Amino acid sequence: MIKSLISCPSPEHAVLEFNGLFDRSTAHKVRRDSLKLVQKQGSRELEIDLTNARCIDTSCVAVLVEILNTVRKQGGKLKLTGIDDNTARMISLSQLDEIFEDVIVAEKK
Amino acid sequence: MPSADLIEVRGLKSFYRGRQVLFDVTFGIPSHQVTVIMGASGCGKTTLLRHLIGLKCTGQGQILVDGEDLGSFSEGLLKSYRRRIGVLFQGGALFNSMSLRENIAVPLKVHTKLADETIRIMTVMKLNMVGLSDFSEFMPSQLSGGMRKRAGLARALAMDPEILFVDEPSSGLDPITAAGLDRLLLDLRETLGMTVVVVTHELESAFKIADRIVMMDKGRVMALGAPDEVRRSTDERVLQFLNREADTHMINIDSYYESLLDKE
Repeated sequence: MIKSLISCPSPEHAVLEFNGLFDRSTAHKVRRDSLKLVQKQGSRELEIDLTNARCIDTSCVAVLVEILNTVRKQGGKLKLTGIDDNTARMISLSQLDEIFEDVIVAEKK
Repeated sequence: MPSADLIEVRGLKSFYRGRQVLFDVTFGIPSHQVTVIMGASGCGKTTLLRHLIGLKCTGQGQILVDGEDLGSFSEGLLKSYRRRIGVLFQGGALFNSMSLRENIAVPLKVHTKLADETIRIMTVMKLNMVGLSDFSEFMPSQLSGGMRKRAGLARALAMDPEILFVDEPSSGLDPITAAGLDRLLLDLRETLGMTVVVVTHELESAFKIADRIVMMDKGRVMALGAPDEVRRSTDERVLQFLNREADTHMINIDSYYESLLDKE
């Protein structure tokens, strides 16, 4: 089970916060909610906050790649916050560190 | 990470065409660790693996998974157990009529509701983990044996299994690729907390990756413990295996001569 919450701190910046287990059984919801917001946001900045989400398999990395691709295609910018060490290790295991280098915001859980 | 035994093998005896191939095999497989089952060819390693993955249920003794007897699992429980495990068989066991990408996507399409694009990205990620991302559209028949084995591993990893069983991962691989696979198995344990069970006769690889070694000989466990404990064993057969000493070929001359006689 995973829940999402949208907030817009400024007109140029939307934050999508996820709360719960982010795995292959919930990945489709994270994907759907994120891509819906990307469509609305267009070229503005989208922040995905995973502080309260737990990523436990590689489906979450795949969904994050897909969101990143879509945001970039639209000329927007993606920021990932609250990435825990385990997710960072999964990104690393998938050899995607460089791709996410400018996306992951330094502070971790 | 906790290291309680996820799987316990208790007094397992197994038979093949009336001949006993496993004798009172007893050991535990701890969670989140790499357990290596090793021994000479024909010592019963692969038979044991078949029991562990629920493919061979006839025999005596028990295999407990989370304390429950695998032999008494209903069809439904067996299915959910199989969803928790990934298996790399010796030959890779790929579908020959599908490309590598399609092979790896199969378990994700069958068992998840992930979007096609998520599945596509996951298959590329898994192929990249085993160094085959440039071969996603190749058919298994277009690959070498070592590449098929790596592709089989990518498919075994498709679902990020809780328990990964790997049969002879290094066979047919060059030393550099084999070392890369060893590293990958350790990374999977570290990153995804995977419980890994490797069946091998490759000494170097076994001692590099194992947290626990189960050494088998003629269907029996002859040594069990951490790599250092196994290395310190004074058992003659263990030492013979570790020192790669050939068996003295003992024959019964009468029965050998008998077999040479024309029975017609």
